[in-house]
Amino acid sequence: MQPFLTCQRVSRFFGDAAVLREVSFTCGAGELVALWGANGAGKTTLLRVLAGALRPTGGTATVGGAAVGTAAARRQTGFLSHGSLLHPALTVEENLRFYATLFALEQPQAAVEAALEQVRGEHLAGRRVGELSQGMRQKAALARCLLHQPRLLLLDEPFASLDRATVAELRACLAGLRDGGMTLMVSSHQEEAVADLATGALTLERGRLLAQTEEVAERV
Amino acid sequence: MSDWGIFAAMLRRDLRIELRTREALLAMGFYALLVMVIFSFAFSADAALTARAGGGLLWVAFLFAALVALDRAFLRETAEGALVGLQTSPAPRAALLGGKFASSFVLILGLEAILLPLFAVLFNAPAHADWGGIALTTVLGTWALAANGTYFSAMSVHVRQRGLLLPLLLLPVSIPAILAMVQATQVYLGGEGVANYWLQLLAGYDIIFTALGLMLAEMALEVE
Repeated sequence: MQPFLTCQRVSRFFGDAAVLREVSFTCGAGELVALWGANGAGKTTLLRVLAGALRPTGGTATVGGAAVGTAAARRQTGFLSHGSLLHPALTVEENLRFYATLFALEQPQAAVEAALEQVRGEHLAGRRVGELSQGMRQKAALARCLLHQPRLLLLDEPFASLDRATVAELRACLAGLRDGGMTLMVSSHQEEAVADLATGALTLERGRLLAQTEEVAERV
Repeated sequence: MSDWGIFAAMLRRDLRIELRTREALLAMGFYALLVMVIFSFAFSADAALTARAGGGLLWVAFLFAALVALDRAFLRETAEGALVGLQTSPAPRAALLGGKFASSFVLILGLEAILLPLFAVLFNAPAHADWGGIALTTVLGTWALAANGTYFSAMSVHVRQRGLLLPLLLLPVSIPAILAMVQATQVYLGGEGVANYWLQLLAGYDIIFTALGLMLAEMALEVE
């Protein structure tokens, strides 16, 4: 299979501290890759580099053949971060319409409605982000990620602070996206929430890639 | 969607946020009003004195207001990590920065429109003052501060001492513009000199620094 996401000897330093050290791996289209590792292992940094939110200090990464950080790569990437990346003073719909404009979507209103429907969040459209619960905010953030129909979705601790019912909803959504051919990379400390969805896993330790495996379910 | 569409979306969004939260407007208004009232206590409301020194007094108040607004321009993007959302979008950086500049410009100018009549009353401005000229100087001067200030606000948003860094970067670069706006206002208030010379300097400054800011927008919004 032609790799869709490639990472070749990617390093990232903050000052003298190496947070990622020569990480290399590839992922095919339609894979859901779990990203394991203890706190400080470099999971968030790796996802931020792949999303184009951090520049790698060394090495190269590509998404669908486009170098990470370029407009072509950004158009293909969705990034669910710790923050929702939505402004709290605006409604969910206002935020999503703004992002639809940034991604130059031809029918912004239709894209907003479709994204909210995809995460079962139609009822959130008129509510201000600052007034939403953590679970609702996560749904709105996921709708933002899906707005431009990316081919790669990067999720950083998507299940953190969510109740069981919302975790189940989110898992169903991620499974649907994976089955639809999207490539996903999910970091989580809740391994049981990701393991049976994943088609492969990367394990990081102190910024180094320890292993890339395809036997994920056995781990849990 | 054209770059103008993204520019307009950024402008609309920022103004909407400000109208809802009023964070920058209240702080700007408070500082500017404080400066004007204190100066009016210190200097007697004397038309002759206003004609001689009013330009400086007015622009100190406007400058304080502008610094508050410009500091907030990118600070509001740190809520919920919204700045990362801008940085990871494929939108042209010049359109994003241009929209931010336009919203800061509109906000500062709006406040100045309220402060200008107040200044005339508090400082007993001369009856023969050229208010059209003062308004034009205010527009050009505010443009200069907003263009440079938005750029430096973007660059300093991740710095811990941001509040100190912004004036340190902005004011030295703006000295020619500040000189021109104070001198032109002074002339229009009834002082001596030729206002056109200062206005031309200000307009040239605006064109050069706006173009430079847009050309270097990629640097200002670059990821870490």
